[in-house]
Amino acid sequence: MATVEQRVGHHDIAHHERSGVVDWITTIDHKKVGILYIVTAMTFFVISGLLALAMRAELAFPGLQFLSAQTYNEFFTMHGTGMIFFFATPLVIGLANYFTPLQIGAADVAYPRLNAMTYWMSLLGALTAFSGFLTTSGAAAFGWTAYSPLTNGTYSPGHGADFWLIGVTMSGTATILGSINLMATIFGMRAPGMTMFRMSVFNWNILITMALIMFSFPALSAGLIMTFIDRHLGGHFFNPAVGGDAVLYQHIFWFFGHPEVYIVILPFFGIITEIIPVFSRKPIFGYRGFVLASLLIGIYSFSVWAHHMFATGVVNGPFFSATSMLIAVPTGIKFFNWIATMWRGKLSFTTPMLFCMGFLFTFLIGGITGVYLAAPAIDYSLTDTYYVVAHLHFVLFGGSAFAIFAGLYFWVPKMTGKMMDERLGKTSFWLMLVGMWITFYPQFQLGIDGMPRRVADYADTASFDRLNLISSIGSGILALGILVFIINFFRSMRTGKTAGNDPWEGYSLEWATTSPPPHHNFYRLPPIRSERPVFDEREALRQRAAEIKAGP
Amino acid sequence: MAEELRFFLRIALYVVAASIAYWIMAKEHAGTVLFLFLAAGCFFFVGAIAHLLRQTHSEIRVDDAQRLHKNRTLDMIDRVIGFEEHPGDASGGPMTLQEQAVPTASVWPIVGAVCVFLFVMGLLFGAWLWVPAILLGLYVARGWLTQLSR
Repeated sequence: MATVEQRVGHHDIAHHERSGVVDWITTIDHKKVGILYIVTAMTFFVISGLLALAMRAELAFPGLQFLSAQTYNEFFTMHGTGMIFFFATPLVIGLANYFTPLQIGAADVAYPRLNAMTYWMSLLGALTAFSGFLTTSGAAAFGWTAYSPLTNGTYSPGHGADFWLIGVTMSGTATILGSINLMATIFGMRAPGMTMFRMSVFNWNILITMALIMFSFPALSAGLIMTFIDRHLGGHFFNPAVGGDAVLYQHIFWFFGHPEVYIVILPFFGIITEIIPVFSRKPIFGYRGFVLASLLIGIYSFSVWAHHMFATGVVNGPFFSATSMLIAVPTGIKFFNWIATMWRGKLSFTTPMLFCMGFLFTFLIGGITGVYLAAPAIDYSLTDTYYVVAHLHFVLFGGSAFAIFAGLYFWVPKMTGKMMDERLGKTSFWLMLVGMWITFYPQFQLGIDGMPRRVADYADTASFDRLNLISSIGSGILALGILVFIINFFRSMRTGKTAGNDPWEGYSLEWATTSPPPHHNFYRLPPIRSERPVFDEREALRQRAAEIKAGP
Repeated sequence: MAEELRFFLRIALYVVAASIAYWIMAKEHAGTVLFLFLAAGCFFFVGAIAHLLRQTHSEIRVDDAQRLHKNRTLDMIDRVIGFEEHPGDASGGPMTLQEQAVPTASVWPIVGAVCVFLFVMGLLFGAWLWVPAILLGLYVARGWLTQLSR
């Protein structure tokens, strides 16, 4: 075991270098914790994706093929749970863990040991929730929303539901702790010169997301603890027969649930905003407009929760309809700013940029169909149909997942020091784009035709048969695209080209250090005078070189 | 006014306005209480950050020479919810954390997580699991707190 004493930023660090598993288990380095988060999240993405593939295979034809109705319920519950709680949210924390300290010029996060503990709590929570599959009663089968009374002992007997409640609560608590840590990092550990309005848009979006987590996840924890009390300690919070209120659970859940949608999209808006300027060779168009739009989206997201509850008939339609539609305005600002950033830029369509283009097209459809659902009159007829499934996946797969893959192709060279293969990258992009549209676009029509969601079987009609089969074929293509990404990753790690410090000529501070960065992150920091300090320094060097070449 | 403070102040002001509008329009208790809890949370952070800033900086005080607008009202609005940065902010973050020594590796985070896991599983499988959870918790707390002094 080597011991290295280093003076890093404002930390005095005794650096103990270990090797192998012990190093990963005991690490509190934000970069390694970030990688642990990312790898775990991607693992749950694959597991949850396999559950989705099984469901689409079941739905390819009418009638029950190989899944029972109960197993199907477990699969869609754990698919949603895995994707929302154990893939998208931890991936946000993972990317923020890795890149936030780098982008603000810090040596680590504010509370490194707490940071590591949140990861392990998150992992144990995820494993607990999924371990329901190992129980005799099976995994939770009430949907990722865990509505009452589906969660009570009558409809969900056995430990599968309990494991779900405990696992998600534990993971959610870890996420709250992680958000406080990252917020303290952004507020308290910025390098000299790095003012709030010189931070990257990605970091602004992380900050807003952490505030959303801090204020919304406690509502989820409260709701799940109340459900647990109802199940085991004789509580009646959500039992109307003895004075409880099942709709109260929906209020509590969606008070978390809608900000959660933005928790798993705002950071990815940030990634897109990092990538588009770099591959357009232009500064961001309207930096403060981006920040303002992110703030407005975050703030508005707290006042729209009950648009998920229009069908209960007991929520105020005009209030929630108006606030929900209002969110389209700042989102529109972002779209115009992205387009304006690319306008007359020197565009290069590398794999990360292609994923950004895919994001723009698919998320736009997801956003617009969300505006329709914000109108109560339309929502009444489309609620709980496949239209909602299609909308959700255009937002969360076409939006979040495309941005995640854009971010991975963009940042894996920084994290590993290896470039990913462009040819395989582009192949995976086109397979995923085509697969995504073939899978989910027909589901809009299925919803309009009246096919309910969360069913293992459907009426044997020509419309349902054809569209379901197309959708299932699309899911296979989509899975192939993800498989190509996985192959590309492992192949590139073995035989990929060396990335160098700044393979894309990036703008923000992470490109000022080595790939991968050293333990203390930076050997030197460039002067920070704008939101793209690395670009500023590179341009200053170019100008100086030109002046020297021109002579006196 | 420091952006760190304005960040929470903007959310708080919106939530207060939204909760009033919501109560007037819906007269519904669950949502109004949730809104009020959120507003209270935001104001807690506003107060905490203002307190921290007051201890380290004089950021809260509006200096006449640093006015953004001639009109006092516009100036105040801009400082509370606007996007202008104080020229003094460029020297670094106003909430810079104090120097601290941290180890680069620690076994306590993972053991602490296991301890939390045992505790919550005790809710399901019986209070007997709380005995190892509490003992382990005390061991973790001791290790965590004394790690830096060794």
